[in-house]
Amino acid sequence: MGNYLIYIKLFFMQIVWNFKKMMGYGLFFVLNGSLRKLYSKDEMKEVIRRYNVYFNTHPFMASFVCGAVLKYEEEYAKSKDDAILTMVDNIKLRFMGPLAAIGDAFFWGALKPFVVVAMALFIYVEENSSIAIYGLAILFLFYNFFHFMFLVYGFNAGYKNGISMINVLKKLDLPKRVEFIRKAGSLFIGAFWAFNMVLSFSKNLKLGVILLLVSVFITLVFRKISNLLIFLIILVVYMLGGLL
Amino acid sequence: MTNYFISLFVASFFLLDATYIGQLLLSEPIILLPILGLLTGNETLSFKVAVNMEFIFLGRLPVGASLPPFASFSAALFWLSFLLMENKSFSYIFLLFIFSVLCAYWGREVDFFVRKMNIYISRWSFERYEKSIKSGDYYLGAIISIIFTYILYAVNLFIASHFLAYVVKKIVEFFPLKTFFHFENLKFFWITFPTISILFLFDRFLDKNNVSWLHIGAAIGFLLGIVWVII
Repeated sequence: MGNYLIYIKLFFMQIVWNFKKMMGYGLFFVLNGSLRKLYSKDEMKEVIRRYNVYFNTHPFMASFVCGAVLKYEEEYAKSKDDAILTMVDNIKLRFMGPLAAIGDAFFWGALKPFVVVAMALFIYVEENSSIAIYGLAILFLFYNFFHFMFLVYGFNAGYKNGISMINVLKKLDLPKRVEFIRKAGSLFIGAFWAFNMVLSFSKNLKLGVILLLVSVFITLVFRKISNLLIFLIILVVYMLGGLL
Repeated sequence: MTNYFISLFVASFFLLDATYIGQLLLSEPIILLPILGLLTGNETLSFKVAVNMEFIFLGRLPVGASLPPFASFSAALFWLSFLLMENKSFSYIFLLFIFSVLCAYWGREVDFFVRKMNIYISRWSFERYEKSIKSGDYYLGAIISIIFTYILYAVNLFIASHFLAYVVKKIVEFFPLKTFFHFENLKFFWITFPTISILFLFDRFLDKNNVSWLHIGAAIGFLLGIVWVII
């Protein structure tokens, strides 16, 4: 039961996120229940002081750290070996940077945009139908099933392997999975764009031609421009269209 | 007004998902707006706005301590202001969309304030817990933070939506918008923007290895489009 509660608490990893300790509060929020079982009331005071520190990583990848930290806390509670205590701090310090980088690239940089673009495709194509809702629901469940399984897997991997979780991470080979998602994302972008072009041409020939020209111009010249800026440019173009 | 308050309470709760609870995608405009649309009975518009708003903010990632413009705040704000407006013609909706997008920066400032307040809540919780060694004292900090954030989101959305609905109404009343905006063409905006803005995802997804996938996708999209138009 204890572990199940931790799995749920992992969703609250960023609770009371702040500019000073960042996820420091969340890490202790997840582990507090388990630590209470390991230490006496007097020992807890020292534990609280140890956890009132800075910690920050990707919220989904933090489960690896939580598992590993709990493993070493359990070992320390039994042996009272200071070397193990140093290991707890080292795990947090050594892993938070790399895990954040992996998590940002995989979740924020690949999986989330991919799922969102797929959702947009569903809504866009079937804007007034229950298919769009089903599409949204299925993709939402897919993303969160993956999210939840990753939290559970990460916690268990960290708990089982401790500092050797680096081997588990290597085995997972997330950069390679990022590549796969990028390919699938490219497929979706191509499909979405071409579908919309056909739709635009069918609705209004002038609109289709303008879209085609702007698309070619953007992909060749303006690849680094921000979406917000292009939004304003389109707006100006429309305004001028009204004046002409 | 019932619809407005239901949307306000639901949206403020879902906004917590963006950072503090879950990160389940519930706060993304593409999920949040259709939910609000289904709740209040105008899902077609909510779908259109959701796609457009999602694409505007998709490239802005909350990496490290960075605070990108708060897309979910914009999405919720659009819907609340829309519910407040008496005139729901396209010109009003379109202006509302523009102002809501810009209000993402207002949302960011609200979130910035929450994160600053959390510094004190976190310190207070740890100190209380260290003195009492009762877990309840620690969890109380989390509960206070969540309730405080929820109320702050709700109050800001309430003020901003009333302000925005009023401003849009006044602009349309006082300025001869029809001389500036080509309303017929503006209706194509919902097609134009997603088509073009998706190209900006190239930088995220595309490299030499997967250009062929883009071409395959384009071929599939082209065929699907033709079938779609014919049917």
